[in-house]
Amino acid sequence: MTSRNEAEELYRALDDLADSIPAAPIRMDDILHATRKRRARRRIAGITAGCALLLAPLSYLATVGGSTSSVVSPAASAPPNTARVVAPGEKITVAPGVKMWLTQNGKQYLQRSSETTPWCQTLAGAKPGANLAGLDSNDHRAWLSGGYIGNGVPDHAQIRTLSGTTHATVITLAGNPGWGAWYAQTRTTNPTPTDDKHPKAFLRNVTVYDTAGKTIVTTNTPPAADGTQGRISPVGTGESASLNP
Amino acid sequence: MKHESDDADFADFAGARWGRLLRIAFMLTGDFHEAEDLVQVTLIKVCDHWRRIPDGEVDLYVRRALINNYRSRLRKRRVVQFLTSLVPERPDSGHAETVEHRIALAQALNSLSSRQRAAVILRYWDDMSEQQTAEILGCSPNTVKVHTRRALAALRTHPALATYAPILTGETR
Repeated sequence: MTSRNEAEELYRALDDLADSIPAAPIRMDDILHATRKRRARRRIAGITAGCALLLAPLSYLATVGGSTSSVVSPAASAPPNTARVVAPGEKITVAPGVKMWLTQNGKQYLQRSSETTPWCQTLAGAKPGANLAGLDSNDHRAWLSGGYIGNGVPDHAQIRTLSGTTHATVITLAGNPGWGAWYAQTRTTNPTPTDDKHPKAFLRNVTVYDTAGKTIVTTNTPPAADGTQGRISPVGTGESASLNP
Repeated sequence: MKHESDDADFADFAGARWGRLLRIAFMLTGDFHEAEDLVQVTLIKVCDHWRRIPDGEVDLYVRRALINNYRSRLRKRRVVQFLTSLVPERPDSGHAETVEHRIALAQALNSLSSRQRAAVILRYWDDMSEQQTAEILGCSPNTVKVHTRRALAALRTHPALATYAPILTGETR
């Protein structure tokens, strides 16, 4: 049994811990906006399902009746503009429970929820290149993030992994500082990247493009000679930027 | 528009509960940003179902949603790997003893199972009864008793808290 004193001590200790968090205002607009999007998605899904049910018999009859219809292929779409200019210290969620932000002094920070101390690497002033800094995965998806250095106004990025090619979002600070970060999510392989002995091998290439479609920087991660580990060109300066574990 | 009046009601509710929910989430996750995300996502789901939640059950409902989201996140998570060697930059810390004490308690809470942690926080900080805690956790009151008893036993013997007697060391019993 727990005595009253013990319960009070525990309450005080928990209260002290709870009160140590900084004050944060509620972002009500974000909550209401996200809720409206959820509702709209549900409505659209319902309407789409209804239309599909109505059109299915017609489509079947048209096929059986021998009528031909031309299949309109979707127009080749240009890669979406996925570059964002963020404020120094603005936190972006790059994986469940993982935040990333950039600072004015040229650093990229990553912080996972279970750790109070963020990880960082210095990007400003380093040689052009791109790297993989964080990798998180579950059974179906992998979340990747890293930094890049290269002159140009970034427009979008593309990464190639063992499970295919996918677009990545680029973030940079205002004023085109010549460095920034990228993050993306993709399908996982089996076994998942973080099950793998050498998770860096999951990422094969990072390419950042400018607004004219020209390459700002591209970095391949070829397998090492022993076939065990992909290596990405180091981009950072200082001890925390080394890619060697 | 019905949704608009619902949204206004919800905004009043969420504004009043935000601070408390954030604190519960912080004690569950041990991380401020994760806690903020967790409460934000929970409130989006609660707002979506706002009209269907019976008036007298909103507080239990939102806590149940919070705990379920928290446990769901834990299930989905795999290890996060930062692949570069890590030399963390530590901020200067004042009030060393208080900070150490908080860290010790956070470590001890982190060593509990997610259900034990939730049971302790709801029972001993959020002032929920055994019955209410059972409803939130989706188990029987007896199971809540078992969770809290085991959690307290684990906290009493946790090495991080050993230097902070008499809190939870049993000396006050």
